[in-house]
Amino acid sequence: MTLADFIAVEGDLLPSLSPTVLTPRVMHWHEQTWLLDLSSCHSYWQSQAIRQQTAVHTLVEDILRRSLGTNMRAVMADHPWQALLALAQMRARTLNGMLDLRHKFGRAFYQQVDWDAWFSCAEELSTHATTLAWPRFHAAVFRRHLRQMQAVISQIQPANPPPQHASHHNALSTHTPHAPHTPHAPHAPQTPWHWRGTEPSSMRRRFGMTVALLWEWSFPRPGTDRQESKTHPLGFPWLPWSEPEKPHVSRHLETPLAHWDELAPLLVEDLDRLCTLPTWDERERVTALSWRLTLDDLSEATVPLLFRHPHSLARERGHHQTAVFQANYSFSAHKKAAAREQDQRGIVGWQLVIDERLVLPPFVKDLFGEQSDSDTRHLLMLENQLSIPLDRYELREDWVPETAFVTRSTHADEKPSAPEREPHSTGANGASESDESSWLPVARSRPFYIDVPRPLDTEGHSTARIFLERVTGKWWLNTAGASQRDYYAVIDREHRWIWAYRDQGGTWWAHGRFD
Amino acid sequence: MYGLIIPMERLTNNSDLLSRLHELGSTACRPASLSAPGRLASLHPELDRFLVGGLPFGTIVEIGSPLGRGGRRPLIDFIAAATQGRSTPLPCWVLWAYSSGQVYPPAWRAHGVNLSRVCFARSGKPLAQLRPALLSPLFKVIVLDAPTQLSGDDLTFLAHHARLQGKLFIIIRNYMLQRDGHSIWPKLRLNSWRQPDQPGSYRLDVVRGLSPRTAVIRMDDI
Repeated sequence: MTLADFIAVEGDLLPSLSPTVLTPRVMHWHEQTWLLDLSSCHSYWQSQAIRQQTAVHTLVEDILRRSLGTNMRAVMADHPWQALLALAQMRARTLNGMLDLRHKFGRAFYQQVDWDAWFSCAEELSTHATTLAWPRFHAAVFRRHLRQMQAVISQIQPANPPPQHASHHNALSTHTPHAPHTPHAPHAPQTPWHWRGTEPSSMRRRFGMTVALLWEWSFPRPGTDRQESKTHPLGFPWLPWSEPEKPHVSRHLETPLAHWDELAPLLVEDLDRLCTLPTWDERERVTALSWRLTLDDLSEATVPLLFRHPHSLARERGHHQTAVFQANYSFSAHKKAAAREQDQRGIVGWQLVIDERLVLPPFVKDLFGEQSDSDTRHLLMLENQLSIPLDRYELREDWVPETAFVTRSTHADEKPSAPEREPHSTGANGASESDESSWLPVARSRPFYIDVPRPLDTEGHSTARIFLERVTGKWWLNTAGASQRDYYAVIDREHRWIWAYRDQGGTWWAHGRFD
Repeated sequence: MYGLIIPMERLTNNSDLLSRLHELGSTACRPASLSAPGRLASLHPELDRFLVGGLPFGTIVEIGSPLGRGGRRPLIDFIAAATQGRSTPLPCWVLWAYSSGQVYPPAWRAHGVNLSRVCFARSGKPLAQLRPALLSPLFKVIVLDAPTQLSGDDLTFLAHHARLQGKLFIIIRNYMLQRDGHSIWPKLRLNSWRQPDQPGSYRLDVVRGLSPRTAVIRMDDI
């Protein structure tokens, strides 16, 4: 199993280490608690694990243990809020080690997160929401709502839970299909998990928008859109940790320049200079640079240099091919935008700033630090040099055509060990991931390219068609793919073969083309 | 593996090529022997025999395949053989750049393509957006499916690097190729389409690179 997107960690960070040992995207949550966003480093750590002949979870846990001490605790989850809740519960029970909420044990532990942990995390979140000036957030109102909620919870938290309908209908007036669900421990104190069926809309009515949002993060509904904000893709109040001063170099030009060919050699020189700064660390890997241009009217423009995988500037000293490619893409886009506005200003100087960097701890052998010519390494480096992603795919055990595959990460073809993987784990949508699919023979009669289904005007086509297959809908999901479909190769008057289906209502849809 | 094979219809008078074809045909004890050195074979006997051993590395191959006419199907056999290393010493990495639609990987896998060796990129302007990948030694076979921007200079550039690095560039056009005009750089040009009246049969028509010839090839299909 791959890494989750987030880890919440707690421990004493060694003074000699930066908190960016695993990822450059770090948030200081509270006292000794840190949140790490791993989404930009999945492939990197997976590749490291492969080189060291270990599972990626083991590698990450080892790095955290060496960086934060043996008493560290960490929780890995797809949402930072869930990781924080489980971490608070681990702290309350003085448990150490690393937990993955996507595993069976992690999921079981998450059910035990109690109200104290939930409320303490909510209090901590209000600090960050205030700092970030969340829209329509008022700390005082939020705390009042939390107190009201605590009062309600204390009322409905008897030693012996009352019958289902009496309790929650009086307290929250919500539809709670799962609550209280305590078949195995009828007298155990109830946890938020027992109330997971409570709709966020009910929470919003009683306790306000923020509590409802936290509730939705705690128990996400399948198929519902995540509430987003400009602060973070997940709407989470993410306050990035950054060094007191970002490493940077400056350049002042004697004459204004405007052409890439003139700028590129100077940029390479400055990238080299970044590698000689006192703050430079040979073990650092960069994921984001800013090229802040000063134009001849002293206005400024920023050209971002983004890398898909952590990139070693030191490794490309003298030419910086990868960084120059990225700079060229961004600079071309900048020039196009300027040309549209008929902006002919030259560049008189710039500042090159390292925005995000990962500083590997000394005990980690770096993938790029040693001679390694594996295809995986080539691909990682290549992806850093491109303006568009390279996609690779693997199949899923799914009979619905458009959900029968997923994007494959760069590391996926090299799997020395994956002990955490639960064999053929089946999700709520009835699908599981595997390298091969038992539905493969059916796919022989499907096209190499598909499109988003669009209504097919059968008037313009001949009646010639060949029946291919019947796809049973996932009737239990209220989403696309829930309806039964009969697939045909429909041949139009120009002898083009169209992959089309007829739904249960008799409507024809074009889904692809046999090119 | 393959069903009924319709005898190839050949329209050539080139004696050299004929003799080579006969030689290849007579020594074809197993599919692998149909591949010639420096060529990517599909391991489909009729297809490889028709193309005198396969698609030549170090060159540009241009294929005309109008939309909805199924002409990409024979090419998939070459990609399958390359990614599985059945006709090359080692499995090849393939880069497939396409400009519209969404790739449907299960169909590729079902036709034998090793998905772990194929990188897809959605790009109509491959020279602008994929240049490092086009030049990378990692990809031995690169397919540009209906690029929207590919100039004569771009073809010159690709032909140079194909020869330099021994790569095979395959450019698919959404129209039938004509015998006259167009760039001089593609060494092999052919049209490919499904026979309208015979599902599972594909017609190949060489426009340049080999003596004029046409074949109807039966493939295991719908």
